[in-house]
This record gives sequence, C-alpha cells and structure tokens, in this order.
Amino acid sequence: MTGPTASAPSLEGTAAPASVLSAREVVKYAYDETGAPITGSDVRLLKGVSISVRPGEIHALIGENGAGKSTFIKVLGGAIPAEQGEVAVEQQPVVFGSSRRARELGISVIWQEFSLSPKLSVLENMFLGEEITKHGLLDRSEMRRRSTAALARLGVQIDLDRQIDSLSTSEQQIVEIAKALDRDARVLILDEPTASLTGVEADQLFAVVQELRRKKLGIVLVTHRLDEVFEHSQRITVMKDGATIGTFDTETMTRESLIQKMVGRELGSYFVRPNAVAGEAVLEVDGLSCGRAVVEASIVVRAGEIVALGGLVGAGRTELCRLVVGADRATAGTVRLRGRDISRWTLRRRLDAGIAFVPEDRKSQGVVLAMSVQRNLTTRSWRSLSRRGILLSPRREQELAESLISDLEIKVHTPLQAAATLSGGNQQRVAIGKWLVKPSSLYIFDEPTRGVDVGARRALYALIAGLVERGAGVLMVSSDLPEVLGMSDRVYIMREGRIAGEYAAAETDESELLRAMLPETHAEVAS
Amino acid sequence: MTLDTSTEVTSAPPSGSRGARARSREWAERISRAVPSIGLIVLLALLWAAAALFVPEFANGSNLVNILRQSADLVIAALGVMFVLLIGGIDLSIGSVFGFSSVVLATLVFGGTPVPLAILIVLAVAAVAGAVSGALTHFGRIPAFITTLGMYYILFAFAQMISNGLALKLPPGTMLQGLSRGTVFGIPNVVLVAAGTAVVAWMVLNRTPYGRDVVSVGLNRQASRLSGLPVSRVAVGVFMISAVLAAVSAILLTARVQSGEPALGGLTGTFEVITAAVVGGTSLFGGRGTVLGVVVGAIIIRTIGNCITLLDISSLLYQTVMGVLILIALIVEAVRLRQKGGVE
Repeated sequence: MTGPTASAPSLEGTAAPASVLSAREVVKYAYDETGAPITGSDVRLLKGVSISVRPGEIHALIGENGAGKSTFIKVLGGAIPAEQGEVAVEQQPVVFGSSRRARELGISVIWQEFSLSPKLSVLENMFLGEEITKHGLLDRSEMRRRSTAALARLGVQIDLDRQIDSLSTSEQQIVEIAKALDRDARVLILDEPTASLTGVEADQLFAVVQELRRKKLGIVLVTHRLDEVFEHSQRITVMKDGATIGTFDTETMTRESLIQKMVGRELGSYFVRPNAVAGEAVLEVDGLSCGRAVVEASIVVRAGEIVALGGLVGAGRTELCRLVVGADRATAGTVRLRGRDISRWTLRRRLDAGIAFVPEDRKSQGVVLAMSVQRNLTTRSWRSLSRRGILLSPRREQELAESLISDLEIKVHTPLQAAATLSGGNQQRVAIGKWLVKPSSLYIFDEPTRGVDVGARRALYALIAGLVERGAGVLMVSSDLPEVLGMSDRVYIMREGRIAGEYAAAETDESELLRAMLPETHAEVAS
Repeated sequence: MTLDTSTEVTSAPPSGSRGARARSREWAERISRAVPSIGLIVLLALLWAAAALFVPEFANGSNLVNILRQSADLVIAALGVMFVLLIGGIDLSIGSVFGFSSVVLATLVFGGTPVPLAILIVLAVAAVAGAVSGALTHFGRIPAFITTLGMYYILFAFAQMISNGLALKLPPGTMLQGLSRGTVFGIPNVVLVAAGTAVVAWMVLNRTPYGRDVVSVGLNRQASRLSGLPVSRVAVGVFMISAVLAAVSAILLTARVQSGEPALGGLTGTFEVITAAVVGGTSLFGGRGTVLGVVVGAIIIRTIGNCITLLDISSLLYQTVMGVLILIALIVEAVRLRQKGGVE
C-alpha cells in the first residue's frame, strides 16, 4: 500500500511536504459507440495524468477546453473509472469508479452542476439521503447543530430553513462545501466554481476557500480565470491534450508564461478589436418591459458596433435578450430591427429576418446534444439545402458542415458524432456555427465565453470581430469586465431589471461599471 | 506544401492517417446506428426459423405471404405513430380512428360516393381529427395522453352514432374489392401500399427538412425553438400524420373485410400499433426511431399472431405476449438510457 508513494519522488521536489492527494499516471481510454475501449495511445482521454496536492494549499488545475480536466476530476472523485494509474488520499488508495470510497477517504467534489435539491431547505440538503436518526425518527436538532457548526467553520451564516433555490449561486456552493466539511473532507475539488458567479459572489466564495486552506485541506481549483489562479493558488498544474504539462509554483509564473504553457504558443493581444465604424441603428429597443424582470429598458445597437450588456446575475440581461428575439413576450415597449417594428412578430419570424441568438446555456438551449455535429451546424439551413424545399441533399449538407467545422476549427472525429461528445468550447462553436451560414444583421451572444478556455476565447473574439467588420451589430451579455471593456464599443449596465447606465468603453473602467451594477444603498436612494 | 518543410515532414504522416481514420470513424458511426435495426432483423429471422421448426404449416409459401399481407395495415399505422413518439408524444386515438374511418368510408361508398373521393374524404377527416389532438396538446399544453384519449372516445362515439353500432356491408364490385384481393407480379396490393408508405416515411424522416425538424424537436424542444425551427408545425403535424396513416390502414382493413366496422381497432388496436413501434426500437422518450425498425417490429408482432392462430391457442395469449413484448422493449430502452448516462 505504501509502494506507490514511495516511488513517486520524481514528481515533486525532494524536500516537498507530504501530499494529501496524489494521483500518478492516470490513464483513461475513450469508448466507441458500442462501449468498447479504443486502445490507441493517441486517442486516450487521459494519457498519464499526475498531480500531487499538499495539505493547506490551493492547487489550480488549468488547461484549454478538451484538455481533460473534467475527465480527470471525475476519476479523482470516483465518478468514472480509469484503466491505469493510482490515486491515493494520505497513502490510502482510492478505488476507481467508486464515488462512495472516494468520499469515505475524504475527497469531495463540488461539481459545476450542483447536486442540491432546489425545492428543499438548506438543512434537508445537508443530510439528504444520510439523515441522522434517533430511535428511528429524524434527529433534527442534531442535524441543525452539525450544519450550524459546519457553516460556522467556514465563517458564514446561512439560514438553515431557506429553500435552496432562494439562495444565490455562491451560497449554494457554500452549502455544498459545508456539507463536504461535515463529512470530514480532506480534499476539496472545485469544478469551475466561479463560472456563474459575479465578482462579489466570487469573493465570498474564496473567503470560504481560504478558510479551508488554513484548516489544512488540500484544495484543487479547476478554473478558466487566470486572475483567480494568481490571486489564490500556491501551485498550478497545467493540462493539455489529456496529459500533464507540469506543476509550477504560482510565484514563478506570469500570465503570459502560463497561457503559453496552456496553448503551447504565444498570444498576441488577447482581445480582438474589430476595424469597423458604427453605422445605422440595427436594433432599437424602446421601453421594453416584462413583469419585474425587465423594466422599461431602452437600448440601441448600431451596425459595425459591439454593445456589451453588463450587470449582476439576475439583473435581467438574459431576460432582455429573450424579449428582443421574441422567445418571451413583452408586456410593453417596442423592438425595431433595421427600422422595422418587429414587436408583434414571432420568434421564428424575427430570427428569419436577421437576428441570430446564441443562448447562455448551450447544453440545454444552444445545441441539441444527442444530435450529430453535422445536423446541429446545418439546423438553420435545411430548407435552403433542399431542392424546392422538399428533398434535402445529404452531400450538400455534409459539405456545408465540413466547411463550418474547418472554418471554426471544431475538433471532431467525424461530423456524424453526437454534439454531446464534444468539449464545452467546441460545443459553443457548434452553437455559433449554425448562425454563420446566412449572415444576420444582429447577433446576440449571451455569455459567449463562459467555460471557454483562453485559446478558444481568442478565436471567439476574432469571430465576433469578423461579424462586426462585415456590418453586423453585436449585442453581447458578459459578466467578465475585462472582456466587456476589451471587446465592446459601448456598455449598458443593467440593475434590477432596468438599464442603469450607458458608457463608452474607452472612457470607463472596471470600478465605474461595477459601481453601476451594485444595488443602490438606502442612503443613495434617500439623496 | 513546399515551404515550411520541417513541420510538413513531421506532420504529414499523422494527418494522412487521420483522414483515413476520420473516414473509418464515419463508417463506424453509420454502422453503429444501424445495429439496432440489424438486431431486429436477426430477431425476426430467428423467430421465423423457430416457428418453421415448431409450428406446423408455418413454413409454407402461402403462409409467409399471408404474414406479410396481415402485417401491411400494422406497418402503416405504426409508421404513423412513430412520428408522434419521435417528438416524445403518444397517440391513443389510433384504435378509434380505425373504426371511425371504416364506418365513414362504408357509409360514403354505400351512399354512392365514388371510391377515390370517399378515400380522400376519409383521409381529410382523419387529418382534421389529428390536427385537433395536436393543437390541443401543443397550444393547450395538455399531455398528449389526455387529448388523444379524449379523441379516442369522441371518434368511438361518432362511429357508433353513424353506424348505429352495426357493421355496414359494402356494395359488391367496388374498386375496394380489387384493392384488397389484387396482386402485382404476385405481390399483394396491400403489401405494395405498405412498402410504398415505408419508402415515403423514410424519405420524409431522412431526406426532408420536416423530418430533420421532427427529430430535433424530439431531442430538445427548447433548443430547436431557439434555432428557429417550426416547432408548432412539427408538434401538430405529427398527430396529423399519425391519424392519416391510421386511416390508410383502416381503409385497407375495410377493403379486406368488405364492410364498415365500428368496432375495428379499439383500445387493443391502439396498443398493438404502439407495441409494434416500440418493439421496432422507437423510444417513448422521443428523438429515436427508424422506419426499418418499425417495419420489422410490425412483422414480428404479426408473425407471433400468426403462430398463435396456427397453433390454435387462446387469443388471450396473444394479448399476454403483446404485453410481455412491450415490457421487454421498454426495459431494453431503460437499460440503454442508463448505460448512456453512465458513459457521459
């Protein structure tokens, strides 16, 4: 049982402290459609991945989309089996594919998709399926005591009787962390914890994570946000194409050197500014309202212009976009596309008239996961690919799909594979690709780079810049302030359903935008 | 090609083999998709082999033609319901579309309406019934289970009222007789109609934008809507297809028995049609189903029925077998979904 760790010194420095979690040479095969493993060494999902996490460190795990981070932490958490390699917690080996054993050994994974039940209370979720009983009855006071203790250890207060779906995303994550803490977690793995958090929420979460670090837990942080990596982590393991590039001390790295390790090439300017001049208005929204979600919103997007829509999560940005495309019905206000009033048009008619919409949640709205990459890409072109609108030409369909795949550099084995088998960044390219066949006048992107890695982000920025240069207007919802400032010409900030301000991107900064996003205090209201 | 030699030389061999691999992956993908249908054909072959061994009179040329003849109506109706199942719906009204269409056809023909016109009217009426079910389900946001069960009883009542509950004998010598009895090159007309329906259904599903829409809506309605697909047209249209093909099936049955039968089909009929589609690999959860699978599924069911008749066993056994078959098909589907969930 001690063998594996004894033979592992090459990975770490000679005087390295003992690791709380170590994984060595983990190999995971890909499987074909029939469930048989594909054994070729270059198509393995993981080609010998190693990591060693010390107690009391935040260890960032980074890499481009498709690098194998998700697969690796699934193996660590016992969610899926691996074919070779060893994972151990304090020299105790983890059994592959047994999440129960992983939990018993103290590995807790906070997945991006939460495992909490939204309609139950915090308390009920803390002990869901593992309720404490006394004489066969629920021992609520004991559960309450332990929950309070776990939250107190994190230095937070959350009302145990609140329903989960009334909590903010970061509070939900904290509940999950408290749950892990109550079960004596030794290692906490966070899967892109801040992907859907606003800055304030992320700060709240990291305060908790730092608290755990002081309590000598080993923390693995999977993230795409390099700011977080530099601000919070002590060491960084970089993955690329299913293998580990190496583990580095955060102090010795710079943003540029890290990006280079991730993509294996130099990045020029990170953002891509389009070379275009704003023309006539493409979209004019006037007094658009829908309940309390969107209140009298008025915005303008001109041709050749990127307009960002910023705000906290829940400020009404997504709702405004959905009203513009007609996915939801407005209660008041008008929407004009190139001067024409389209307020009463159906969703379909608006899309056909030249609005492209790439929704926020690509897995449930952006692509049809079980459908092939080819069909996803050609979804908006089936009628134009058909002779007289009746019989489709499979050859022309495949040619169209293949040209989009090569233009967008989507990584596929074959256009016929299901979109579900692609990594997040590649799925996002598919979601966007279907709108590129026929040019639209207005492109609406809702959080286009969420969960997308550095290299792929830059490609997306170039793509968006290209659309604007060809005369389209772009409306982009983004929670990433550097992105908002780096990409857009103008910025609208939404707050509690209203447009709270409009800024020229060149004349504002992050702190001004952030101030506009935050809810007004009572003092401000009074004055 | 000529410049940049250092990278060309090293990268050329892998990229060449990748092209070949991409092509073989493509074929692997196509073959893996055909596997369920091939499996069903093998199952049918095994069933026929076993029946040939154990059921007297089974392996007789005229009996095999008979099985195909008997399968025709089931194939057509099951192909119709497949479209509804593809979008995750269900159509329980099929059984009474049978009786209703049969009665309307016989009444029209008896009253002197020319047969082609009568057939057109029957198909049009069925389309309207399907449109009503579909519209109520889609726009009214009522589960298809409820709307189509309602439609079942409405059409059942209409059939009873029109016919007073009695079978109406067709006048002799109409072209409906030829339709049922006739053959082309030894192949019964009804088999040709079923084969034609299958070809058209395959074309619609695999080679038309509408078929693409149906599958996409079945797999993810929300994403399909946001991509601008005509979701309403799909959601209502599939119920029209189901009802019209059920009516086609009813016309063939009416021609065979030469009378308008208000009791044609019934809930057993509905059940039989859905069983054929599900045994043929159509998912009740939407998005998955093939024309070939459904055709073979229908023939499997009629083969079992044929054996039970030949062996002179109680017809109740037939319904038991139906029930067992649909359970097996659903369990296979559930296991498949679970495995898939595990891999992802």
